[in-house]
Amino acid sequence: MIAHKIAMKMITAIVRSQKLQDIQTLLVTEGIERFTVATVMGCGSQCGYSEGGKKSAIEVNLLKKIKFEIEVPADKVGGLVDKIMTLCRTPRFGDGKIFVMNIPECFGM
Amino acid sequence: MKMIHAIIQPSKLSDVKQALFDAGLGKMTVYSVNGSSQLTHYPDVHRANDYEPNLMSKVKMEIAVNDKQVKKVVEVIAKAAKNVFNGNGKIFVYDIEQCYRIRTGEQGPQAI
Repeated sequence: MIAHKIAMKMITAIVRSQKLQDIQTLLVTEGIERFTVATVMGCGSQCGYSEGGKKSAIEVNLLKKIKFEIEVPADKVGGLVDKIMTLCRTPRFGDGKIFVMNIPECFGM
Repeated sequence: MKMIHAIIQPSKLSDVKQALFDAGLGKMTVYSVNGSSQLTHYPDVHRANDYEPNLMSKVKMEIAVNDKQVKKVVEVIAKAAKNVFNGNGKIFVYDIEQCYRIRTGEQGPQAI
């Protein structure tokens, strides 16, 4: 078990499910081959409804999203976040969010 | 900015969702997970003489909020997810260093 001394950050990106392939390609071209992907359900401030859309009986409508968890050294975070944001940006609501969290310790098993 | 992870029972998802909506919070990420806790099986599932810690289906909810909302959200979830038996779930709170809204590129607390 080797503890890494470099500061590591975890980037959690929750994006539209159609962007899976694009982000995967981006990460591999960036030289990041280690990441986790999960299919999740979620919604943002619009509660899962498009603007002007008719609301149904359910008030919070969960939509299908893809969650990426990418662990990178702290100096790579800024560049990678910018690239993911440019790739996933559309003029419509529901593009997603990116969270950056600190990883105090990281072990290679 | 904090990230709240709540692991709750699948049957309580709609209650928690509704309670959060009533409290003015409609943003969340939800996915199903498996986990074990004090409760080894749901009471309606009959398992005679079997007390091995087995994995039961749970729902994990992730909600990013600003610091002043943390207490309110935790209280709302805890109240709505409560059940009569054990295994109601857990709530964890983590720090978020930075948050980005992809559509506008906003950063920080206003992007949540």
